[in-house]
Amino acid sequence: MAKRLGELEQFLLYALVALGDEAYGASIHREIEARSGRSLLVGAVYTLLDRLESRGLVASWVGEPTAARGGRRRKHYRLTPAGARLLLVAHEEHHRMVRGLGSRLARLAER
Amino acid sequence: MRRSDRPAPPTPPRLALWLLERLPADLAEHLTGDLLEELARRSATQPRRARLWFWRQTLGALLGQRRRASRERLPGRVAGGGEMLHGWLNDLRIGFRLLLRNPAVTLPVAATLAIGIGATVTMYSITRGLLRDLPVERPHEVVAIAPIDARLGTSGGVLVHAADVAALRRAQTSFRDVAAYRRGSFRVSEARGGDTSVEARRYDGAEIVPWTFVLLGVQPAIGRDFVPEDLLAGAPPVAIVSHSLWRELFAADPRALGRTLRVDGVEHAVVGVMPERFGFPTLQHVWLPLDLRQAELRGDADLDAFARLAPEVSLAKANAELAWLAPRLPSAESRAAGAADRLVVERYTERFIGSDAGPLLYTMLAVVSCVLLIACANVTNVLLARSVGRAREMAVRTAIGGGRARIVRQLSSEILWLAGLGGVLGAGLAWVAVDWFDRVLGHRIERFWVELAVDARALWFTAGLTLLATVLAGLAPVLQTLRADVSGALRDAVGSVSSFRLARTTRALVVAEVALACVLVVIASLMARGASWLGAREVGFDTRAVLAGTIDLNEADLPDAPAALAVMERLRQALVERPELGGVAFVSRAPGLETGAAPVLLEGEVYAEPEDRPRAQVRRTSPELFPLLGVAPARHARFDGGGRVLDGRDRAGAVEVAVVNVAFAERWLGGQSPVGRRIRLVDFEEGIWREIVGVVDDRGSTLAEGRPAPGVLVPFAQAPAFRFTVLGRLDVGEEGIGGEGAGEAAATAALRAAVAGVDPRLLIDELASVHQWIHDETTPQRTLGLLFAVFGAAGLSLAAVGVYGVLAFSVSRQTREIGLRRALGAPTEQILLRALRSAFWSLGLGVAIGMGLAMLVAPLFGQLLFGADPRDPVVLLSVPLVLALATALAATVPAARATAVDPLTALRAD
Repeated sequence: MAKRLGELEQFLLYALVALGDEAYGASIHREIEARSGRSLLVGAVYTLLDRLESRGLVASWVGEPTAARGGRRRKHYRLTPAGARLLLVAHEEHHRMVRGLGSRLARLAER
Repeated sequence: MRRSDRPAPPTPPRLALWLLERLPADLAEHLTGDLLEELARRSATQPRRARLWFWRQTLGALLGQRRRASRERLPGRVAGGGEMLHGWLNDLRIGFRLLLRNPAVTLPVAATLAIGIGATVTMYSITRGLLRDLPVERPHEVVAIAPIDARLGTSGGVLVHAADVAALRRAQTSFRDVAAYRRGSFRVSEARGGDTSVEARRYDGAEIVPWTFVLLGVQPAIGRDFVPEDLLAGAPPVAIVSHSLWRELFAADPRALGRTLRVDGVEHAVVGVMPERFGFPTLQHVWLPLDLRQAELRGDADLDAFARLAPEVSLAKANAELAWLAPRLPSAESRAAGAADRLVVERYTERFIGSDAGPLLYTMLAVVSCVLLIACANVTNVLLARSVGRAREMAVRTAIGGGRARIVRQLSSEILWLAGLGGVLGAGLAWVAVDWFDRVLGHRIERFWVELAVDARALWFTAGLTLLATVLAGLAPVLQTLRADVSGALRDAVGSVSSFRLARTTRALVVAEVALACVLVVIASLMARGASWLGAREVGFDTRAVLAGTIDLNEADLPDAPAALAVMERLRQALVERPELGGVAFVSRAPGLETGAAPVLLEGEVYAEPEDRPRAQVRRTSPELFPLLGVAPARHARFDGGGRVLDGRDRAGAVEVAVVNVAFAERWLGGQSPVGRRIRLVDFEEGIWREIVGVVDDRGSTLAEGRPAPGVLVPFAQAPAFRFTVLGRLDVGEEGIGGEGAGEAAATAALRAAVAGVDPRLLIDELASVHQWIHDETTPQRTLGLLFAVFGAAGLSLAAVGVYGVLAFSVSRQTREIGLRRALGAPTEQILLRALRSAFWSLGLGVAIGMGLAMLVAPLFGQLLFGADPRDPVVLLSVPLVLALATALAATVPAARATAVDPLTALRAD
């Protein structure tokens, strides 16, 4: 069994799921911010993606240069089957863990 | 695809882009692209926050990258060229962390540096701002040509004959060309097709010869310059306007050319708009062409001349030529024999800023630099103390084979951080201070080339200086530790080896610091003391209860002086009837204000030199001034009972009279009575001897350097003027009319109504209480004084903190010794006294040197001290006292702490 995924790594992979073909640094960053409300460094996104890529969980390809980026190319990412499996494991673990606890937790937090 | 209505993409910070390029190539490309994309998206709503975000992302990426790189490289690397740089960066990071971990050291050091840098940059920026060059081609060649007034010995306010300018232009060889202008103020409004109802406003302007702008090398930003054809008979009148007037009147409309401006009632076509920030000769907004030939024919004698030096001609050479030419100029014939005026050539900016401003400002700068020096001394001390504390660390590192270069590098990286932090904070401080100075004073200077802003060059220079000073300060102790015997340092912990040398160095620093602080604080206190006198002018009456406003009868288009007197009389009657006013008077300049000391002659006295003549503040006044302010004859036997004040008898045609104040009699007549003697106001009127009919008390006199200045009062009826000041006393009834403000508002309205009732063309201008007038007049001096007081306080507190720090450190290092003494039975007082004695030796030496220096430097400040005596005992005593207190505290507290400790513990301390 591969090493478990960290929280941010999970966030990243979920973003890849959400974005499909349109996943590259800026859009991933935006997606995570929009979904989780957390702000993070774009540089950190790349660091994490690098690490995930070296573990074979994501794959990347380089796109075409665009004007909005000052003629710079995008680096696109997608989930590999291994990455998807690992994320699914984490997703299910999480679900099993939280099932039926949400409202009780909210009540506890209110006090 | 870009939609056409979308704003242009924001420009990313260039420095950030450059930094991003430092990342590994592939990451740089993708990341930068992403950031640019996001920047564009975020800028649409919040451009400023977007830029901030961009910066945070950039720095975050760089730091992250470094972290990753160092993690990857750590095991078993061999040093190469890249490694050297990497090592530096690494050291910088370590230095930064050490500083963060040590805020007790970092913050005071950075704050100290910031104050030093801030003060110096502020003063430097102000100095450079005031002494800027004209924004024209080769500004150093542009000179003013001004006649020296033989009577005054100055060139201030003396004007040139048109005939002289024309003759000079033909005869001279020193200048590329000579030009002339006449300054004035014009009523300007935009003329819209015969509609004259548009309200005119007054603007400063100048009539200039058509080659003025060519000679300066400045061309209109829009439209054309004046051409000789503009002067031809029948040519349509033309005008050029300033950039700001163009914005104000024409809303910066590029089609403003050819529109018509009504200037003093005559329609002029606008042919040009000058560039921004241009207002030659001083701060003018409208230019009309001046026909020098016509002026010559008319015999105009109210021009200002300027010229551009020919290549390779020095000021001295030009002056020599003018000295020869001046007596041969047309106007020389009309002048009285022996009164041959001279023409002098001076740098254009010097004429309007004052030639003594440069040396004065640079001396101020030198004195303010003391703050920086004190700051550097403080930082040296702290670092020195710290290096001693770290001697053991260094020794260990050396012993286990740490390269010395590496150690030096790491220590200096810490210092670089300190200097950088101090520099940034200092720049911020300077920005705030200069901005404040500009807001308070900028608009009062009225010289278009002056620009008060933080000078980038000053910032770099000072930052460089501080860096150098800090590095030297920081490295000296480093080298000292490196020299130190390793085994000795290890064995002996820190104390004894270096403590003697340390003591000598710190003592020298304390002496230097105290001396510098003395110079700075003495000058600052003298200035502040002088300035405080200005602020609290005691003019002998309640200045808040008297309103003053100016009236210009020129606006009413009167034929002659008697007509002006008639209007004044009508005004007086209209004002007297007003119940809101408790009395009115007319005076040429409001009481307490400076009018300029004019030379006078006393009958029977002979003056060898023009400079020997008495000088006095001459005012015209109506007789009502005396009851209004409560000015009365000085009933004193010395003055023959004081004579009388001016009254209704002193009308035109009667014997010409004047009264003088007590200060005049004291200063120029040695306290004898001037009553009955005759006086002539040479600058003021020609050939009239006035009989002095009274000596009055100094109430309402101009204050010079905190004391009433010699003054002369003459009646308006015998010396009419078109411009004067109306004084109105608030009628403070027993009940009041509902508070102070209400009374003032009612009186203001009454004054305005009465003036408008006499003639609707007349306006009462600048209406404010005399208190406000005086306050405004003294703002520049008070601002400078305050600025200097702040510098002084900063310097003194830095010095006090520095002295405290050094002494506290050196005393605390003696903890072991104190413990030993206590163990041997020495009484506490004796130990305290010992600590104090050595501290006061350094203090005494520093004060002696500093006071000596201050006494040498203070007289250089002359007028800036605003009359404070450079040997003012209050100042000279209080400065050492403050320092002595700091010293006593600095020596006592740590010593007391040391004596309070159990001797056994103290002995074990290192």
